[in-house]
Amino acid sequence: MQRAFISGSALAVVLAFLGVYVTLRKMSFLGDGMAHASLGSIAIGIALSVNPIVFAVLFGVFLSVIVYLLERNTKLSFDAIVGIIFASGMSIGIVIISKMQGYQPELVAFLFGSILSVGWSDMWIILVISAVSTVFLLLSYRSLTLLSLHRDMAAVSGIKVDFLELVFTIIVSVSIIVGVKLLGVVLVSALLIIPPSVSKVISRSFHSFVLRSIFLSECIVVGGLFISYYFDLPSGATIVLTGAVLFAIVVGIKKVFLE
Amino acid sequence: MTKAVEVVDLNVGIEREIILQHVTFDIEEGDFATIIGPNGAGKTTLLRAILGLIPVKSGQIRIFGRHISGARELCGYVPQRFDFDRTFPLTVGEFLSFSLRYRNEKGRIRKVLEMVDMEEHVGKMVGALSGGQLQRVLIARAMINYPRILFMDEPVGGIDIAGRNAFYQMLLSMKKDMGITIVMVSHEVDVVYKFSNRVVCISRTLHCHGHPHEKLTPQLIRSLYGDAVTLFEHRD
Repeated sequence: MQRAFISGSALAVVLAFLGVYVTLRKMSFLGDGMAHASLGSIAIGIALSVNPIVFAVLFGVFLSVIVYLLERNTKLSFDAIVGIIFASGMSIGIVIISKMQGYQPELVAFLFGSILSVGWSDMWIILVISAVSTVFLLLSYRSLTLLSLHRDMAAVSGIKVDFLELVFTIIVSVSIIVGVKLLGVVLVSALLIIPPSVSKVISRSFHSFVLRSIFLSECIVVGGLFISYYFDLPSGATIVLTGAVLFAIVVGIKKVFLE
Repeated sequence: MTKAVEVVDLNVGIEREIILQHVTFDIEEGDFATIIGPNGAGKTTLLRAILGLIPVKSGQIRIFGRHISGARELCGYVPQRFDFDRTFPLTVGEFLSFSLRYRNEKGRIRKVLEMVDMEEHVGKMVGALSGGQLQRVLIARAMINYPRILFMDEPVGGIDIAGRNAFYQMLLSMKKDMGITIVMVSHEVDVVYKFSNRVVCISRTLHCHGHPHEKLTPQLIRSLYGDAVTLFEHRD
């Protein structure tokens, strides 16, 4: 449980922070796509008896570069590219699973998340990646925001737009992939979307938007973990439902009492 | 006098399509230059090529004698379109602060907003601004690092006639106070006569450049826009 709280809390910060930019740049599908695509590399990792998360992170970096290059050099839309990657990665995973003997509990845990089975090595991987991602966001906060608002304005301002976009895509993918262990392939992208969505409803400045996203994300993860622990519920789904309920409450209060 | 912009035999294409051919002109420091031409002439392409936002097939571009990669700090830019989710939480002050070159220059935010008469709106959400107010804020953002040259792509789209006159008067006032060079893409030929001292006429290639009163003849206008166009001179 201790490792679950530490890992979950670290991930809550970085996914909420990233989610602000993912929302602004309308890239929500990237999180979902990368999470599903990671199933292939996770399955390969399990089949080869190597740490599946490490393998999936390296594969995620590779896929991010592919997404970036295809978007810059073809006429395909971002959604189409991510859709192709999503379906292909997932299909690789399904094919490998079909060839594995017997029931694969570890693989099923990755589908729906198993935050309470996070080991010490998993926790350290999550902490390191969360720390690196957060430092990147803090250092590039202003440039990334301007880039997300208008690419050409950012370029004329001297921002290295190509490099920043590539690094951002990699950071989102890798952060999502390490979150797969906690929340599962199916649900992890919710943590990228729900906290910023709730925060957006109640924020009137960018700074408050970011801070509230992080705060709400922590509440959702910690609250969801407590509820799942005491009521013996699947942790990933409980965290996401906690977020969904919070979203409904905030929107309801704003609509009924404040407008 | 220093040349603010030098374009020499510029050729720009996208895939196999040639957008601009053999374009050569220059703009002096302190000019208010307007790039005009019909729809699809390549005006925005020319501006984006000068700013290094698109690759060029051949030719040379210099801004104050430098390649664009070394001249960005001298440039301010107001794009043609600023498509933005108006529900996104972002204040005017924050929007400007993201463009500041140095964080300890926050006093500049108020100064540039005063230049465009928007100082009272520093805490307002960008999404709540009217079209005209947003254009002013975009200019303030472009001016935040005190550039030597301001590039604007059709900056008055969506602003009514009264608003446009006020907008151009504001630009002239800024130009006078700061000595800035202005390069503007526009559809409005009357603006060229009234406010610019240099015109660049583009329709896939260069049709003219120089002083508007000398270069914008009825023949030139017809060659740019077609025979259906008639030129009327206002008697002020």
